[in-house]
Amino acid sequence: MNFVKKNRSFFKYILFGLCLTALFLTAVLLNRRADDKETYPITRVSVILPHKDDGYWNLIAEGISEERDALGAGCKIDINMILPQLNYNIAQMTDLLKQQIAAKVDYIVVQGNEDETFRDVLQDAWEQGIHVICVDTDISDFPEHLYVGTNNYEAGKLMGEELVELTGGSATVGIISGEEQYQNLQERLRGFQDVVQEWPDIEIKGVAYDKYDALTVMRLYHQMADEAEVMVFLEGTGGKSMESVYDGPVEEYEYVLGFDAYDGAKRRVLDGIVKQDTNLMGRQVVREIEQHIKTGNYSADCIYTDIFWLTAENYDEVMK
Amino acid sequence: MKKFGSVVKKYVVGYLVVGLFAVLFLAASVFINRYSSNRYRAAIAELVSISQLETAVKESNDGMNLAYLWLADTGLEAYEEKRPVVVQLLAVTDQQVEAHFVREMADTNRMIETYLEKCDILGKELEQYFKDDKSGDYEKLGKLYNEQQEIYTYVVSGFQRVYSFRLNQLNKMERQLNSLQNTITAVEIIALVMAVILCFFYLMRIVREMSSSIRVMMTGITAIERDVFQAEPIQISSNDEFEEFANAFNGMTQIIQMQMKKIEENANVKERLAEMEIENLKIFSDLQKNHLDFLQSRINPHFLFNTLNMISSLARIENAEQSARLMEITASFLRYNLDNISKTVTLKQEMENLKEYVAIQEYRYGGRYRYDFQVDETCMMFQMPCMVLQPLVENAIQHGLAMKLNGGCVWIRAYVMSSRIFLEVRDNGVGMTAEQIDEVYRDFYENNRSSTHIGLRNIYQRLQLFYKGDVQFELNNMNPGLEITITFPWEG
Repeated sequence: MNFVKKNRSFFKYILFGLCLTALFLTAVLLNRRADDKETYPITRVSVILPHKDDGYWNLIAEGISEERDALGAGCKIDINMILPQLNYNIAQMTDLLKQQIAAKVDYIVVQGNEDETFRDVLQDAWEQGIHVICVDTDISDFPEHLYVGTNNYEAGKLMGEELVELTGGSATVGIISGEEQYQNLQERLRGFQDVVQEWPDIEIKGVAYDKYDALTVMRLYHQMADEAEVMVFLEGTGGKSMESVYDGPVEEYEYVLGFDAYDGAKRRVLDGIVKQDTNLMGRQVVREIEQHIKTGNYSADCIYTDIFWLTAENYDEVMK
Repeated sequence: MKKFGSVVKKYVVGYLVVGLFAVLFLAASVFINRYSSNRYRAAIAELVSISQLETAVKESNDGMNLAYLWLADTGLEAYEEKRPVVVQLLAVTDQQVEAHFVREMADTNRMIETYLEKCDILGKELEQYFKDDKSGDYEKLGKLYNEQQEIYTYVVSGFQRVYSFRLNQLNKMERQLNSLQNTITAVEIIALVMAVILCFFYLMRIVREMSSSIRVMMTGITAIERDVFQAEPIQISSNDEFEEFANAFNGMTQIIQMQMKKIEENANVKERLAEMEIENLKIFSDLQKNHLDFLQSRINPHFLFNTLNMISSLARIENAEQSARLMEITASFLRYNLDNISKTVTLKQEMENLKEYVAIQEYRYGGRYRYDFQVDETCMMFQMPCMVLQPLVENAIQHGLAMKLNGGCVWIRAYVMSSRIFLEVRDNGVGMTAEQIDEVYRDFYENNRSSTHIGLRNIYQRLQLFYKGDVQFELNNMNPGLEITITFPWEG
């Protein structure tokens, strides 16, 4: 013992070395084991995204992933995000929906649309006990489900109010939307119209639908320039297309307004956009699923996320 | 008793540590290899069972196709035969999913369940169709078959996703295991090198410690060679034979130092004894000489004493009273000297003898000098050496008052003060200068035999011997005259 006491510092190093080695080996093995360990049963969630874009649905997907990661490894929720081969292709999305039903997943998260087949399949899912959550766009008259996303009527109103402020209540307006059967777009249009109809000097020259296709957007954009001073895009594809095609302010229209084209607003291609809180949409979906697993209830049937009016002037403040 | 380690033990510990590291890493290496190969084998086994399940599902679907497309009974039989196999293999893959969750596998397994449900429904409808002599609701059968085949398509694509996932997983696992093995190998090499380096430094430390111990011991030995008393104990804290040796060496040094000190002390004592012996011999020699001088001087007093007694008797016969009286006093004076010279006497005896001397001097000088005695009665019985006062009075008469024709006086005082007896003899004669007094003192201490103050020095030395040095002898010039004061200790 005297010998050990005498050479205490040396044995300290030896002990430290051994501990370090043991710790390293343990960490390596535990790390390997941790890969294997997943608590079972696990709630399987399938998120069917309509489109893999850079500025909207990928932000919602990021929100979902971030919130899932934030719940930690102990959380028994597995989220699988899947996409149709073609953007916004309802037939492919319906087929994906059927696959999830066949796989008997626990939750299905989709962007709602009013396509009949899609609705029927979604109804099947609901009847088989699969929980349905609509994100970004709701489905009208669908049984017990959750909606997480923007209050689209309010978003349309915001767009209208900003238009009035920009034009002083006098303008001819061209509107480009996505597709008619999307309830969210119809609500935005309704909100927008409700505001501008109080201003007699604001005239809506027409509403066109781009089918979520950039080439169609540009064709309609140029077509409507002859009779409209202001271009309003009621969904993201319009603004996104503009920001891809133009580097700065456009000359064909006095004002161009849109949705969710952040970079376009920053570069003044668009004079203002309605920015939806996409990240919060994704996060809120996961939070609600977790709560539903625990309590059997969502916090509400309809959860609206924030909207902001984004321009080049307030870009840094809003994006912060 | 402190237990010491040993140099051998230290070396052994160093090598043991390296050995321990080697064994540890060897064991870790074996363990990790086994773990890696087990994992790989398990993954392959899972893949095989998935493949078996896929084959079973495909064969069951072949049966359903045969039954529906060719309206063959054997198709349903083939399905019924394969169904339990599918269920059994499904249970196996379900266990795999439970063991470690794979979403693709879980989804595919549930799709197979859905597929079996659809197959069962279709199978029942076909069975009924066969029972009803091959007649029934063709539209319904067609719808069921399409649904069943749609699900089968999903199952097939599910298997593709599972294979894709599993192969990716295997690929990832292989890369992980390779990376793990590379890391482990690197760590093992680094750790072993570190262990060897550590061991090297440890052994170097032991060697340096030994070298340092030897140097310390050499320094200690050199210090002892130089001066055994100045040598500091050697300090070694190596906890081995060297420390043990150093302790023994320090013990031996202490013993040597103690013995040397004793020898030195004995030598000092012997030296002091020799000096004392020499001193004693000197004193003895002086005493012998004094005794000889005294014996020589005794011849005359005895002769004179007898003669004086005879003359005194004749003087009385011839009526010469004064002469007879003088003879008697002289004889008494001489008898005192003769009888008491080597004895102690009382102050009273000494005073009586002094008075006889004074009486003789009165006859001689016929009242030329006056004598004043002031003696404290309390100290009359004080014991002292004989013939102390008379030589002092004689000295005062012969040297102090000799030139004085009248008015000469000698004061003799004896008193006690502060536990000491004071004897004073004072005259009012010529006195002594300071130089003369210093010369007297020098004679006292230097024992100069050729001095002119032999009488005073003799008194001083006798008193010093008698009172063992506790005597004060002072000469004071009183201008006129000289005062000699002697003090002794008074014990009541």
